[in-house]
Amino acid sequence: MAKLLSFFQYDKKKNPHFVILRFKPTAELFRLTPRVMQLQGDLYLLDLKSSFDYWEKIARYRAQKIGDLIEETLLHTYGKEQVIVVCEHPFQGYLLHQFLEQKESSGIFYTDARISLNIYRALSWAHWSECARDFHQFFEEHKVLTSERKKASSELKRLEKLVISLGVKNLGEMEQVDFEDLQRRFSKFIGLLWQWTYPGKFEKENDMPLLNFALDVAILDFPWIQFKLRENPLIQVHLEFPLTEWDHLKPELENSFIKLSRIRELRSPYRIVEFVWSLTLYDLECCRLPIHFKFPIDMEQEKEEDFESLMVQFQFAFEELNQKLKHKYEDTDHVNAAYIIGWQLEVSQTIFPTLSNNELFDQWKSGKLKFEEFQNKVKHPLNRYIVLDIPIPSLNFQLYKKEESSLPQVYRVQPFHLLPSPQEFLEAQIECKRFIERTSSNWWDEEDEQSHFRDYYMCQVEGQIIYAFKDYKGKWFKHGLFS
Amino acid sequence: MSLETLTFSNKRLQEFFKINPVVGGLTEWGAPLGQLGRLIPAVIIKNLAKPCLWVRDSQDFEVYPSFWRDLGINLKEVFFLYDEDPLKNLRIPLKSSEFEVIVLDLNRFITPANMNFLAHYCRRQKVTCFLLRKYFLSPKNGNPFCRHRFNCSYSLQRDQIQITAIKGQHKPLWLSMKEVVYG
Repeated sequence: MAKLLSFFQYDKKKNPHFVILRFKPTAELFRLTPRVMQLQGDLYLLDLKSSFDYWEKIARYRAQKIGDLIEETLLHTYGKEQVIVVCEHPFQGYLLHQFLEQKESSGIFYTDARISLNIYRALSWAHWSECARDFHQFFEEHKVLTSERKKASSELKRLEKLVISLGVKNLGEMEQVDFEDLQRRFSKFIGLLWQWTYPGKFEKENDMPLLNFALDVAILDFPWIQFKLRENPLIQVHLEFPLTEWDHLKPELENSFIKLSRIRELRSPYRIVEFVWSLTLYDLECCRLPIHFKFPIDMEQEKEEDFESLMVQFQFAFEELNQKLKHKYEDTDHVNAAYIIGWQLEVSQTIFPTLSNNELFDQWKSGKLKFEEFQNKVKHPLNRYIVLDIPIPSLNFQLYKKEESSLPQVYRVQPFHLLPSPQEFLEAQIECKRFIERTSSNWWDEEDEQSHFRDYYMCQVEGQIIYAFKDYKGKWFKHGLFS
Repeated sequence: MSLETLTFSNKRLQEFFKINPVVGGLTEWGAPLGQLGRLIPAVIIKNLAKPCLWVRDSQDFEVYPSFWRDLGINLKEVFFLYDEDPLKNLRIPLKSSEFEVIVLDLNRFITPANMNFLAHYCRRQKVTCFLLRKYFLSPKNGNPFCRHRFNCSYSLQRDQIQITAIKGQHKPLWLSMKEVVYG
């Protein structure tokens, strides 16, 4: 029986990560995420990316699906009597939101749901132009994309004329038009808007996962304008003497943390997601270090633990800066890498969780495992994996059965390590080999179905036992290592 | 943590790890890449069924979760971490961590001071720590910080795994793949 396996990190399924809704400017706006943008009056855009891990963990502890938990929080916090759109891109969500509001609908709508896709494709060009003008005006107010938006109004009119002359009635009829064509003919702004209308089609190739918490919103050059309920809490420090060593810096930094912990806006139930540490060097150069916490920080709790997690992450950031500066000053007469004469410590992102979620945090604190806390203290992400079972009919038409944490009756030899991509090698190099299995993938999606059949072997090559496969052309590839 | 927690149904494995107990201490494993030397530590992790942290300092290869799943290990309990200098960066976090099994799969040289820290940490926190080296260990170069030192290798022709105690008492043990996996 052939088994078809995949990793979730290779799964191409998209996660919608923006929410558009109406609400009043209160702390509850930051219940789901610290990243909020005001689109128009009481219309807000929430970016779920930066707090995705947090919600994922809460969902796991509550044995709930993350989508259900987010839906529950959305309805409970922001009310059922309005249109809430969960979308892949803000402009796409705005187009659907405005239409549904005009139709006086209510509830949560996903742009990737079949019904929404049908509505979306049937949106009129007049609606699109109206929304495009709203965005133009919004960017005008915030003075962003100025060069792209030159002559935007007249270009929009020209596009409308073209669409009328072509007899195009709705968005769906133009879906296959490339944004570059529109950009060349009209303006860069129209090109951008068209990219944002169908973000899935024009997604930039990027190795980073979509829900990477540390990434700024750069989805197809959409400018993010953070909404602030009040000015971010910040502490400024001017040192009497320049400091270079972490051990000397640490007590001064601790003082800054103590001052921050006294600020009322940072006390429970608020939790900190991101700090921006702007260091001023001896030559008055300013280095901005954003320090992001995957798991939101409770300042009071941190104070009790002598700011342990904070110190670890700040030390990593400091060492990284030192490393960069060393490279920079390598060929100069500069005396040392980082002579720090002061800093500004700003709390740039906070979250306002519900009390029930905070209780969960407390359970974790006193519970048997503290992995989330551990995550905040290490430099690189702590990973756990799952193996996806894909029920694709195998070569002998049997389905793969899920065997959770139990040893299969027949042990399948698996490699310990996998290469990032298979490497070709010569058959002559094989000293000894043993067949393991034949695998296949989504052959119905591809033109050449044979190319997706692979025969996997355990091979001995240069004294090492490797995980290798032979493709249907008879070429050999090294895919992993039995370590 | 008592030594009884490590129980194998295979008599020879049981005897080997009864004579050379690895639970609650620091053990060094000579496990070059491509020799299946990580299989026995992984089987021990399965046997202990405790939260495990697997730390590596190289990103040349990716973790292959199917290996773990097919071995019958609960993937929810195995955490993987990459760090270029784990013994420097993880000193503070480890102090308050609740991992009972830690595997350091390292390329870099470990200074005696760091070895001392590791041995002390394992003894005090009763943590089972495996230090995996990408070369075979030799009795010529001893390691006074480790309780035991083993070499592990696999022969494709014979389909057998060999485990040799470099520091410890037992003659080399030859086991079939099935014996190890169902250990």
